[in-house]
Amino acid sequence: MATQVILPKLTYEMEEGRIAEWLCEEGNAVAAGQALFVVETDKASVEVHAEETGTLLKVLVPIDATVLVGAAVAWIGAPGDTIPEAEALHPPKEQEAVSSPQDITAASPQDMTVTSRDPEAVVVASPVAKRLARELGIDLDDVQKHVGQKRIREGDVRAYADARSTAMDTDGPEADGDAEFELIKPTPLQRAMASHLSQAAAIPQAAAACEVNLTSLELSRNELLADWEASHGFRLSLTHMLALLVAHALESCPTLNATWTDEGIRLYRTINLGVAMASDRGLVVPVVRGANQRSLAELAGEIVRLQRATMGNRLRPQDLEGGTFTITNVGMLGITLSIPLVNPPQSGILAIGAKRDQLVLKDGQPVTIPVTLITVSFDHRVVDGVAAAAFLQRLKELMEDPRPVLG
Amino acid sequence: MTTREITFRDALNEALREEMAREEGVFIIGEDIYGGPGGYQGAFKVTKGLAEDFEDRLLDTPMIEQTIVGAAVGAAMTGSRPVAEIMFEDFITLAMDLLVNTAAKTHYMTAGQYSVPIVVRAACGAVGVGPQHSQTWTSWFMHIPGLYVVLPSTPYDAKGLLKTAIRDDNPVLFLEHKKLYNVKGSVPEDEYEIPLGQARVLCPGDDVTVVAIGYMAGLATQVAGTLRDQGLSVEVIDPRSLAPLDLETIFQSVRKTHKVVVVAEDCKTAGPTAEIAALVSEACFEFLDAPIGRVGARDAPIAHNVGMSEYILPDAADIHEAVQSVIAW
Repeated sequence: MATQVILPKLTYEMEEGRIAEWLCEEGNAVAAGQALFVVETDKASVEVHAEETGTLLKVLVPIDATVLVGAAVAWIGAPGDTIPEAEALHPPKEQEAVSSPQDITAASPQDMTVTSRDPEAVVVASPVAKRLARELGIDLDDVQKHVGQKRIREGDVRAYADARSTAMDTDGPEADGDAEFELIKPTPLQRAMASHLSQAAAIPQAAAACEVNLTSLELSRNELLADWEASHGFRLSLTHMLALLVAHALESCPTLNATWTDEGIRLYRTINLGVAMASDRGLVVPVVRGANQRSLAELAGEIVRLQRATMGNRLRPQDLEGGTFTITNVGMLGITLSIPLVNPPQSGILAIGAKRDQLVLKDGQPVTIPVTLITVSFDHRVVDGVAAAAFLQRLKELMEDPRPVLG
Repeated sequence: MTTREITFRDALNEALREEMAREEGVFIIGEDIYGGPGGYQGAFKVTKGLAEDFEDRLLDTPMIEQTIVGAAVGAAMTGSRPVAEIMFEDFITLAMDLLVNTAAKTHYMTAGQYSVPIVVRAACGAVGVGPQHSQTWTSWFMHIPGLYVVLPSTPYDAKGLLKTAIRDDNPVLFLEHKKLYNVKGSVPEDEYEIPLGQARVLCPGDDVTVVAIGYMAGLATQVAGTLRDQGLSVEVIDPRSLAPLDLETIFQSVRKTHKVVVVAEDCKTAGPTAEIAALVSEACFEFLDAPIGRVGARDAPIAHNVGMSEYILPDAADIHEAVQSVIAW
């Protein structure tokens, strides 16, 4: 007998997910435990595995459709099993989900009728509000969320448009007036990021920076590089080494590995280091647990695993949770100075700038040395300027003489 | 241009006097209109003093509206420009067939060989005189192709529009609200006319359009003044004639304000507000930011009792409330 495949609740907060990819086709055999589809939640892209062995009889939710947790997304059964049509299926959450032809088969006619009749699902907007939204390329759902009322009037659309154009003003010349632009609907990940960044901006924070001589660190790396790839299967990067040094520097600076709460400041007993990474879906910060307890090879190996998972959109929710401090190597992008936003609930984030050559006098002779700028942004409720300076100083020491840590 | 303050009644009287002087074919027919020695000079004294100069051009009739309009139609078809006075619009029903089936259609039925250039003046509006002497009917006549319907709201408009109506070759129903007769306003010394089918913006504004007909136009202007003090900019438009109706002025205003309230003293059901609201919705749907508001009389005979009559008829408070609710939608 055919069984429904249900969208599982993958994280505590997860309410819905977007089907990013189907890894099996209808008619294919599937084994219990086999990856069936990829769902994008507000935190990560996650593979969902089949719980039954059988044949993928029917895919109910097409790629890019968003469904609620608990919704049926497919049927698995023996070849020839019939799918009970009458059984209530969870309709796709958004109207866009019923826009493609394959979708029409996805929901039964009954479901579609129910959806279109649901008065709660209809945005009530005045004719001029609808026209204006159409002209400005604004989704009335977004206006409704913005104003928090059921009925949308012209002024609400204008207020939303103003708020949006203020937010996009830095985006260049076409941001206001009658300009035409492409409207990109944010993915759940982007929405989650936007709300997270808003929380980040609410933290009273400050930043401090200092310059570091990279000569010794480069020397160490060159020594290690020789047979690293052969023995570990990946190339050692400066980021890997910096991650370990930061983890060690944090040992003596507990307030930078902490969280401000109303009850008090939590000083974490472990150092779980978030490493910012770019993905095609935006910035993600996977976490290396117990970073200071690991050897360079272990830590670097874990970062490489997380990088590969990021590239393949295969990060698990637990890869992204529990970070206590974050590093971001903006130097890789050629940036000299970056003042990052503290990544809540953490109290500190470190940006490493691009390496550059600096002319200095050594024993009266001009020589060039490689330097970089390291910047720490910190939650000023938890960390004061002296503590931030102590952290930078400690990290500078370790970077300029890394042998004791790197071994 | 020199102006002076005169009443609505005197403005009408001037218009009649000037048109009678201008063209010999203009005469007045009605009940108790004769203004000579011992004459009643009209129930509302609009024809006061005219007999002194035009004694043989004021024809008093018995209480027989059908004959008043019938004689006027016949005279008009043979070259005169009669002005028929119906003392209370309520009794125009007695002349309905002549107005609707003869006056409005003769020009078309005779392929233009005959025209019926009559003006039927009638007093409308409630002043505590009961169900049969208080009504304002406009939509019945707007509904008849070939008939013009004019309702001035100021002395200036009353004079200019009446002169134009007399000169026009179409039959015109000219409605005079009883509460306006004593209202004073500034009127030029010099002769002027006002074209039919041209609305007047009584008060410019940006937030909401109020289209108010006849006596209601003045009330709407008062309301606009009160609301202006509260920071709301109300544009009041008096269409002045319902047929022909100056839709363009109304549409332009609605396309600017995106909100509209239509006000008339007629019953709301199938009244002129219904027609104007429908026209606005057809032409300006995508410009509307709120449902079209309507203010009119309740569907009840207008009572003698003052309290009941006030309850039935629209007033400034009703207009105020309708504007607020359109704004707050």
